[in-house]
Amino acid sequence: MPSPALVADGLVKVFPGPQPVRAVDGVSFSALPGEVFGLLGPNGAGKTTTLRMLVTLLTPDAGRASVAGHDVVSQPDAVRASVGYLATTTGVYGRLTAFEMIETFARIQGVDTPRKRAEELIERFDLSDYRDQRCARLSTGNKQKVSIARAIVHDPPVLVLDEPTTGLDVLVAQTFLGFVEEMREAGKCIIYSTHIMSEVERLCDRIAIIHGGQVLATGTLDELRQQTGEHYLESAFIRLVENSGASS
Amino acid sequence: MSYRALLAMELKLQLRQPAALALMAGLPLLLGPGALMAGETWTSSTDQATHGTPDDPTVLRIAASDRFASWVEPSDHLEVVPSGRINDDGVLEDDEVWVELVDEGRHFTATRDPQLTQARQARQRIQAVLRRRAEVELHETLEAAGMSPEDDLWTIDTHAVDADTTASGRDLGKLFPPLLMFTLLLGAVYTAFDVITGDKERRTSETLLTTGAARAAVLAAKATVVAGSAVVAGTAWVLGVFGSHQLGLLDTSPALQQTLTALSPSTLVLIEGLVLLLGLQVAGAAIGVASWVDDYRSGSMVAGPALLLLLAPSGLPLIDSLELTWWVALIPVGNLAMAFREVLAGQLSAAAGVGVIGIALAQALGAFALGRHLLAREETFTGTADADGRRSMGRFGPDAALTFVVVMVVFWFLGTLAQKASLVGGHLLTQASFAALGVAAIGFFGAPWSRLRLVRPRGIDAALAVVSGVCTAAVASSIFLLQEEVLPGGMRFAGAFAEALGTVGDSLPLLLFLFAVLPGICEELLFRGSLLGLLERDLPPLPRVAVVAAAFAIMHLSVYRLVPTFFVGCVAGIVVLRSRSLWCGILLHLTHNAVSVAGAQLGEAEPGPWSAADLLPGAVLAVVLGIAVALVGRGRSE
Repeated sequence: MPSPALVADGLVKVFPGPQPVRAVDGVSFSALPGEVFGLLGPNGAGKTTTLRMLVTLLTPDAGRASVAGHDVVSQPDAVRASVGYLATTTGVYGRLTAFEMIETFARIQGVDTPRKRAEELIERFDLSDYRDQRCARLSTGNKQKVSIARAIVHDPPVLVLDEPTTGLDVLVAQTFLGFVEEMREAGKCIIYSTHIMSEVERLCDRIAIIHGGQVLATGTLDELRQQTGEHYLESAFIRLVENSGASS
Repeated sequence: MSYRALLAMELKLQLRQPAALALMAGLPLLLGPGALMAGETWTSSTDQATHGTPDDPTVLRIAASDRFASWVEPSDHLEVVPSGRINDDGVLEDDEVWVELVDEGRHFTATRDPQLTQARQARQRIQAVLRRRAEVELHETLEAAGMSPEDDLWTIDTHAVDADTTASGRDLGKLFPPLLMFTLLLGAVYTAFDVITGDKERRTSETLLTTGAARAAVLAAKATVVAGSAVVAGTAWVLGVFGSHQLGLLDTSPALQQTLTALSPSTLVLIEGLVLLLGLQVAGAAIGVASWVDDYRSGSMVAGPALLLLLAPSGLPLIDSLELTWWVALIPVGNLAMAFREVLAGQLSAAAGVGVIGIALAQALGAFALGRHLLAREETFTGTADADGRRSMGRFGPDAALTFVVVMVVFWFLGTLAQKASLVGGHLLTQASFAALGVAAIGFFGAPWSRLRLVRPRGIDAALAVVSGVCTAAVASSIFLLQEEVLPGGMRFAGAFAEALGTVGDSLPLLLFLFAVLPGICEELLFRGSLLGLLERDLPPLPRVAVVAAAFAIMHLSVYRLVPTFFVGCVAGIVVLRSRSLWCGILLHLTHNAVSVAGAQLGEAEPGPWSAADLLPGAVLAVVLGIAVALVGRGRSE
């Protein structure tokens, strides 16, 4: 069995303030290369905060995590070099063209032949017609394509995708899901955060259901069905959330 | 490698922003000649005209209007007598009142107040006559003595011009640092907010910070761009000043021309060095400020006070009696501003220069390091930036800043020029632009018209506003007296105000309409109406009043009026908030100005020594003012 590409072990994050918020409260899971690992939870469950700790934007208050064998606290630069992160927004620079955006990030990531790599990705994501158009003028779908190209420009072993289909129309979303499957075939470890059940059912090899900053259950779709006695993922999810509310 | 790629990207992003480009280079380039124009007005108040030799006391007949007599302070050296008129050919005519200046020594001094628009032409005419006479007499003397132009007389003449240059340079050195600082802030603040706050608001900071690039490289690239834009802005301003001088674009006085021409290349390099250091200090501070805020909207609220805070020490050179001592050299920004003054006056010693540069460099690096530290905070990139329901790109932020700057520039150029041509016409234009801007701002930012608070006040509040207006006039007058101790010239300025009123006419109703009613309505519409209303959701009441009062004070474009006007603005702001009616602010402002205008018309315009007893009325009325303001809005049913 291959060793995990990503490990989260008891991650905790507390946002200080007059009423401190324990956004993530002991989250643990691991994901393998060639696996799509889903983080499923409602808004405010702690998914984004967990992912931000994994990509070194936030520092955990407790627990540890590693990406591609690198510790997120002690080796942040190495972690970031190993990960492609897609945030909830496209995060593209509106004043750069599609090509410039991808090429610039290829240079920033230290790709040997940035122009060639950018041309490849423009071709790969069918952006040739929009190559020299500024990102601000692109449609949401094309912005997301540029953002994905930017995230994988350095061919990272781990992809962290935070609600990546938000705001996309059905056709673009389908294309995107196809891309995720392709990446899995290519042996990438993919962390896929979402609250859309159908995406989880289609894509994810294993799932962690997260609520109130805690992982309520982890397993394959079948394992979650067995745990909850529910056939549909949506029903299983509601059962787990309700049970956690009752127990707390 | 990452740093270069990041820097290239940040530069590309800035260069694709017309507003940033205009702020970084365009506006400063235009502000340069503007500064020179301001310098021209500023320095001419103490211009010295020189003529004659120590052994050759000279009697000069100078053409001028009858008003000129009041600008010349009679002394042992100067005798003011009626005389004839000299036309452009130096021929005497007898149809006007004349001033005869008798110089017993090498110089005579013709002083005037910069506020009097006719004085510029008079001074130029005086200097033209002097030059003609000097040239003729010099040639005659040289020919008679059989001497060549390289002889002593030339040396004496040059020496006199040098003395003139030093005085003029020192005056320029007082004015230029705040203007340069303003320019540097234009370059740095906007860029800092775009590359840092903008990145957070657009959510591109997450994109950038999850790349393999070292965090330090990301920060360094941003800091380089901010510091670079400040330095570009400062350099553009310097180019604007010296370029317009070199190209002879502006009709400046010979003394000012001599001052600028006399600057050696090494001095210019030194000035550019000061620009670089100031740019670093400003960039460090701007990065720190931009790092604290999460979006443009809140950024624009922080940038205003921060800008004022940074501008304040650049005004130190205005205090004539202040010298560049070791403790002054420790004041950030102020040390470089003082060094700038000394450089322009040609009085900066090598030791002082090295000391100031060393301290300023350390402070710049410290500010830079602090900015980088703040930028690297975790909260900088996450914080509340992902909170639900936050505003989209704040329309009030960059737009408001840009509008403010544009209005300042328009005001500076057009208003000043118009008032030079016609005091009344320029005044009307300025007031109309205030009112229009106030109304337009509400419409542009889509705020409800109710923010203007144009509702009828309670009778008691209106009466208290009038009482407060009378009291603020007295207190502001006391502030004028007090600040004379640290900023001499204010009382002379007050005298000039009375003179200026005199040029408009003797009709008190007309003066009251122009200088009390009109500003009361127009300025209040912009400041206590529009600005105070627009900031309603962004700042608590008192900081809001202070920010608006600061803008109000700056808009009056006079260092002497800065503190008194800020005070009046604060009182008016509090009264408007407490009464919930802009009309109370209008009444207060109107009454304040009416008392000032009437006082200037009826009172003594000449400055003189004052005692503590002179402050008594102001102190008593300050108490009355406090009571009146406290009573405004009391007992109102909600």
